[in-house]
Amino acid sequence: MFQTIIKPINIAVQTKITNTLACVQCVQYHRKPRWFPVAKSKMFRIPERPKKNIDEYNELQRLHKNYNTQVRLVRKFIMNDVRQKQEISSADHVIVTPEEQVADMQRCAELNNAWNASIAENRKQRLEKARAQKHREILARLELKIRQDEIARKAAEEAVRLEKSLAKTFILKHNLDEAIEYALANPSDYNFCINLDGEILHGRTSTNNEKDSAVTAAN
Amino acid sequence: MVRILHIWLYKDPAPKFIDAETQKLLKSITRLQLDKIFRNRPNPINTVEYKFMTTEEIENEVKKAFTKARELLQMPPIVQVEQANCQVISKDPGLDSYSNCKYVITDITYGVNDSERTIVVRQTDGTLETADPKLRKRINQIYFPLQNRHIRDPRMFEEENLRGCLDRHEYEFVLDRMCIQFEPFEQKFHEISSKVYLHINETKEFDILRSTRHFGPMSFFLAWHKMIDDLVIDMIKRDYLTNAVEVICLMYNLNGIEYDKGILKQLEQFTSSFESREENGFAIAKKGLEKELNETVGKSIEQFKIDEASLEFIDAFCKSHAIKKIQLTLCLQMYKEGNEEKKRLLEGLRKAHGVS
Amino acid sequence: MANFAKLSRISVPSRNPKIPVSPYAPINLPPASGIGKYWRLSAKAIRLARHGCTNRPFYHVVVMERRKNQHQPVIEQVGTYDPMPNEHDEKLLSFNFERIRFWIGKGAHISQPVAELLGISGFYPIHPRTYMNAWRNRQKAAEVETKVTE
Repeated sequence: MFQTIIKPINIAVQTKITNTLACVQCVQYHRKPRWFPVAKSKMFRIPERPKKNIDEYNELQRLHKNYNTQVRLVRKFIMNDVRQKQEISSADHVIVTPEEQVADMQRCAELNNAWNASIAENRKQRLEKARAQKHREILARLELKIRQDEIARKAAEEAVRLEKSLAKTFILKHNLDEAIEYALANPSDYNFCINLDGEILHGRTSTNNEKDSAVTAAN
Repeated sequence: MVRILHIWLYKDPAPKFIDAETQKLLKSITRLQLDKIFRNRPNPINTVEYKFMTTEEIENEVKKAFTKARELLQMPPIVQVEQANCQVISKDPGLDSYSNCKYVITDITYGVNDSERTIVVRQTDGTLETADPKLRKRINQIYFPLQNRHIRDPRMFEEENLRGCLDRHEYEFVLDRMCIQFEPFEQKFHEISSKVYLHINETKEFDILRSTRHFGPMSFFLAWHKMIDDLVIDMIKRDYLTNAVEVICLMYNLNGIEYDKGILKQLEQFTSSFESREENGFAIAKKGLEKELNETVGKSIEQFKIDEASLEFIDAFCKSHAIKKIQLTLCLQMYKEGNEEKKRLLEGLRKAHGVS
Repeated sequence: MANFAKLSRISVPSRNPKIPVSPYAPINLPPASGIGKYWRLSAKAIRLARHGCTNRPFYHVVVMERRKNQHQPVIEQVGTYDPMPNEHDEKLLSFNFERIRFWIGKGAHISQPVAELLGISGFYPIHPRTYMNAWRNRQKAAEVETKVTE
C-alpha cells in the first residue's frame, strides 16, 4: 500500500551523527505526490494489461443481468409492500371519514361555544364589578369636592369678616383731616439707643426718659 | 447421574411441574419465612428503615411483605432439554467456499423477543440454515446482553470449581447464578442443578434451601427420582410433618402411585386456616389463655390431631415405598415419643387451668 | 464567561444519569441513530461506515445521503458488520431488516458491499461477486491440491 521513501541524510550531518548514532535513516511513509514526475526508470515501461478471461467475463455478464433483474423485482416488491403498509397503517396519521369529520367539527363547535359562554359570563361579572367600582369612586370624588368647596367658602367668609373689622381703622376722605391733625399732634419717634447698663433710651432728640416714655405711650 | 439425565431427556417433566396441584404442593413445602426471604444479602442495597406506625399500618405492611415474598419465591421451571433444530433454508452449490469462515446473520429489529429473533448462519459451503440454540444464546447475549450473564460460562460451573462450591455448602449462590447464566431448557441447567440437588441430598443440608425459590424444584427432582427418604426424615426431625406428607403425595403423584387423597384435604383445611391467621392476626391479635398454653407447649390440640393423621400416612409410606426403612422408622419412633410427651404436658396444663 | 458557558453547554452531550454509559462508548462520534440531516428528495444510500481502529475494521451499516462522507452524522444505523472472524471462526453480521425494508421502500440505494452482505444473509439475491469469489477460491484450492499431489 504505502511506498517507503528512504532519503539519505546529507553528508555533513551524517558525519556528525555517525559518532553517536549508527545507521540512522529517515523514513517517510507516504505516497508519491501527484505532481511528481514519472520516475526516470519507469518512463518507458508499458504496464501489462490484465488478461481477461472471456469465459469468466461472459459468465459474470450473465450473472449480473440476472442479478439486476432480480434486484429490480425485489425492490419493486418491497416498495409496493411498504407503500401498502403505509396506506393501511395509521401509525403516523389518523384516518377520518366525512361523517366523523362533521361530528368532530360539531364537537369542537360545542366545546368552543361552551367556552365562549363561560368567558362571556366571566366578562359580564368583571365589567359589572368594574362599573360599580367606578360609580363608588365618582361618588367619593363628588363628596370630596363638596367638602372642599365648603372649606373654601368658610375661608373666604373669614377673610371678609377680618377685612370688615379692619375697615373701621381705615383713613378715608371724611376723616382725613382728623387723622392728619392727630398725627401732627402726636409725633412719634421710634429711634432709641441702649446704654452700657442695657437701658433702652427712646427718642432721638430727647434725653428725658420720662418724657420719652410718655411719647411712646402716646404712640 | 447419567441415568438421571436420560430421564430428563426422554420424559418431559414440564406438564407435571406446571400442574396446579404440584405447584400447590411445592409452594407449601417451600415454607414462606419472611425472615429468611428478606435477610441481609451481600449487595449494595441493604438498608433497613425504622418507622413509627399504627397497628393498622403494620398489618398493611405485613400483608405487602407477604405478597412480595410470594413473588420472590417464584420457582424456576423444570422443563425438558431443548433439542437442536436446525432447518436448512437454502442450499447453493455455486457458493461453495465463497469465504473461509461462516457468517452469522442476526435480525436486530426492535421489539422482538429473544426466543423469536431470526438468527441464521451461512456456512462456508453456501448453505443457509437457522442457528442452533447454543449459538443463538451467544449471539443474543452479544447483541442484547442480559445483566450478569456472561458470554462464556463462568468457571465456577466447571467440574472441580463446582465441587468446591458445593463442599462449602453455597448451594443457593450456585443455583441463583445458574438461573441467570442458563435457560431452564439447557442441558447445562439440568446437569448443574441435578448435581447440586444430589449433593444436598447426600449432605442432608435441606434447610439451606428452605424458604428459597429453589426448594420446590429440588423437592420435585427428588420426588421424580424417588429419593425423598432423607428429605422426609429431615422434615420429621424439624417437626414439619405436613410438609413430609406433601412430599410423599408429590412423589406418588409424579410416579403415578395410587393413594388416599383425603389426607391432603384435611391438611389443606388446617394449613389454610393457620396461614390466614398468621397473615392477618400478626402478633397483636388478642391473646387468650388458650393461646398462652399452646405457646408454652408449642402446639395446639388441632395440631396434635393433624400430626396423628400425618404420622399414619407416613407410616404407610414407610412400609410400602420407603428405601431407607430402618432410619425412617427410627426417626418416626423418636418423634412419636417426643410428641406424646408434649401432648401429655398440654393436657396437664389444660386440666390445671380448668380448660376443657 | 457567558460565552464559555454557552460553548460548554453545546459541547457536553446531555445524558440520562440513570442509564449507565459504557466506558467503551464512543465520545467524539455522532450518535448512531437519528441526528443526520437530509433532504426529502436527496439520494439516500444504505452503505458501510468504517468504525473500529487501525488494523481492526468494524463497520456500521448506515443510511445516509449518498454524497456525504462516511463519518458524517447518519440518518439511521441499521446494522453492524464485524469482518474479523471471532474465536469460533464466525463473522458477525446484523441487520435491522424492518428499517432496511422501509428505506428500500423509500428508494434508498444499496452500495455493493452491503448488497453482497444482504445476498449472503438471504434477504437479497446473491451478488455475482460472491459467486465469482467462490469459484476463484475453488480454483485456487484445486490448484494447491494438484501441486500437493504432484
